[in-house]
Amino acid sequence: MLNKHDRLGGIQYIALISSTIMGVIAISLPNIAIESAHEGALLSTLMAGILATIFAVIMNILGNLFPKKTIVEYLVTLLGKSLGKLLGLILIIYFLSTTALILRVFSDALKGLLLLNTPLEVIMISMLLTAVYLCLNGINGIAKLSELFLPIIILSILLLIGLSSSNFSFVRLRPVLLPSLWQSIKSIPNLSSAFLGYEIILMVTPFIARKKANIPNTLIGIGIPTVIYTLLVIMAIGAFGLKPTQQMNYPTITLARKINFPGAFAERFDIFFVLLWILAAFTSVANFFYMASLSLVRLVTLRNYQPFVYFLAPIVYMLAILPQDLPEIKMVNTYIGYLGLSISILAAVLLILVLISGKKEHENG
Amino acid sequence: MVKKWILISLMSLYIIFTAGCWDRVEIEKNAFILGLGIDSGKDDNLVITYQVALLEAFKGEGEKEKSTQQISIESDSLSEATNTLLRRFGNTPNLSHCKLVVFGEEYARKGIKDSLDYLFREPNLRRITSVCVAKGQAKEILDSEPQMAPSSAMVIDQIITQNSTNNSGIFPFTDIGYLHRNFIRKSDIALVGVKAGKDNVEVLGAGIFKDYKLVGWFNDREVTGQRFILGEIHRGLLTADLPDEMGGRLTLNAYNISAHTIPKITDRNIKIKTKVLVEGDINEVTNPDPLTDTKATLEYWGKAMEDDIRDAIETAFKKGRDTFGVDCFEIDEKIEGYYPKFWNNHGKEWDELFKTMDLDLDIQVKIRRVGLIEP
Repeated sequence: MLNKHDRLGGIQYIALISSTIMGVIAISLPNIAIESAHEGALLSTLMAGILATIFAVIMNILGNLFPKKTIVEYLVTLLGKSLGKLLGLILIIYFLSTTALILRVFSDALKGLLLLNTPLEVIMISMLLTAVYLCLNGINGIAKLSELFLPIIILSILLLIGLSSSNFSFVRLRPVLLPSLWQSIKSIPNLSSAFLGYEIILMVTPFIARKKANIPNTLIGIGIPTVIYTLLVIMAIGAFGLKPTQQMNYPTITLARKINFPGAFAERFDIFFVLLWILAAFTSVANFFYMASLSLVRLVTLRNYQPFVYFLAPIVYMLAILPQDLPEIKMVNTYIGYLGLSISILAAVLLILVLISGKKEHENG
Repeated sequence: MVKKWILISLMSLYIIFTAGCWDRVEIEKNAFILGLGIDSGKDDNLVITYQVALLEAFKGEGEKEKSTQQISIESDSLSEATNTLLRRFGNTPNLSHCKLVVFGEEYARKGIKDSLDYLFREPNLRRITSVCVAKGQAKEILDSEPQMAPSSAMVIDQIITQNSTNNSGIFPFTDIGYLHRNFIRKSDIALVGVKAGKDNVEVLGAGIFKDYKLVGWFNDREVTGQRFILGEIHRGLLTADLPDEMGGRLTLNAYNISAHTIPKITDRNIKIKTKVLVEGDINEVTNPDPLTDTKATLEYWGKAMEDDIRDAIETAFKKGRDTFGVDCFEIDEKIEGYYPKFWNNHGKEWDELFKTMDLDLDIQVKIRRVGLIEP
């Protein structure tokens, strides 16, 4: 089933990681950073990104030790049938919940900002059906789409950051430049949910050409979101100040609205940005959904994942409908952040296990 | 075969769904609200005036018909007034192109805090919507039909955002973003003052707000001084009065002004150090050729301009600090930026601390050119 032609290249690997991470959270990232870390917002974002980089590299090394298997398969090899399958199930639940969360946050934001009268369900079903259609075509479609969308997403965020520089005032940024270290460290768990998505490395390594899933590519893949998110926090605080950003629900959109083209050349830049943000959210949803279906099919050791895609779609929808209002969504976001961190720590533990017990002679390149 | 037909019928069904949008509002059915005016009515009610664009007049040139329609609604709150609009107007109100929010003088004196939440929370009102305070009623401002432009709201918005670069007497950036930034920090603000004439509107000075209640006005000269302290001044026409034999009235066309303010805290004494650099050309002199030596003349005139600017800044500062007791110079934001620990400890007493501040000015004026004839 996997021959040389199916293998993806380095750029697609980078695109997969970056586009899964850069998603819906970009719209409220400065708010989350300041709420949990106050003056330490900038340092906290940077440290959360560095922590994510470390975990991503660990996962990369782990993935390369089992080049033909996804994590659900070598979990069983390493930890035995019952424990391995249990952890595999938790992984699937994690992927499903994250898909549902991203879907819900995205639809909520879109409904509140632009489409007031459209029912929430309609927005969610439209996006979910599109994601289902994409996932049915396999990793090829997802990788190529991520590769296609990533430059557009990066360009639009950089455009936003560049054009907002006229609203930027360095004086407002000064309080965050001398933060308290302890406060920044304490709020890393809250911020790490913004960087979730690098788990795709564990699932996708079998499909990447052998030499391309290496550490430099991983570093680029996770470096892009880190840099962009940090720049975004800098611009938001510089344009608004610390306290106003904390009160805003969607600072990035407000940043886009404040952009002034001289001579009224283009008035509503925020709509342009929202369109491109929809692309970013879509790649995240589709990628996580694919990971969920792929994990499930590998867990039950079958080969064709397409029925599982159809099976999981209603489950995702029902999970996404569950939270009733904004505070509940934030609570789910926090729990999923902790779950994601636990999975990253699990990957690190697995790596240590493998290196200690030297099971790698079981796998050939 | 059956599968193919199912597929085709599903696709046709889908085409029907993708041809529209749930939130679609036809463009003619949109009532674009260009300006929002808030006055006080009887018994704590608000009178909200909406300036609605009449789209036919915006489409092409032709005779000047009425291009905007004003509707005034008396109600408890802003959101309720917008809802009442649906009872009087056949179209859906659309705030996404609102250019201006005007507070009436009487309403501003009572306090504008209550209407601010709607302005901040409404998703369609953008942060770059200009805000101003009217000398008189907000309704008059929106009712006036300026000759050269389709709507008074658009004219005022353009004056505030674009002409403030060239005219130093126009307070530059009062928009909803500025309001929000200062509202969260509980800072005091200044808003552009607007006056309605017979068939035009004029921007005059700025209204000073203490605790979001209007307490007084700055005139043009004081606004210029205020802009120097704020650091938000780029160009302008500056005038100085000299004794008759030394030139009379001197006007400098300053094309490059840079002003920076840095607070300095030393042992409980706060100094505001403002550094001003002005470069300009002489525009007009009443009695030219006072001294035969041109260089000495320019130096003398430069010094005279420096004294004049110093006087303008100090007048504005003293009026803000002593007469009104208001920090409308965003100095608290600068202190928070430069001395965050001090701000954390003493920020709550800013109202008293502000009164003890001193100005420390360093002004340099360089006159570069004198126009076509000798000075």
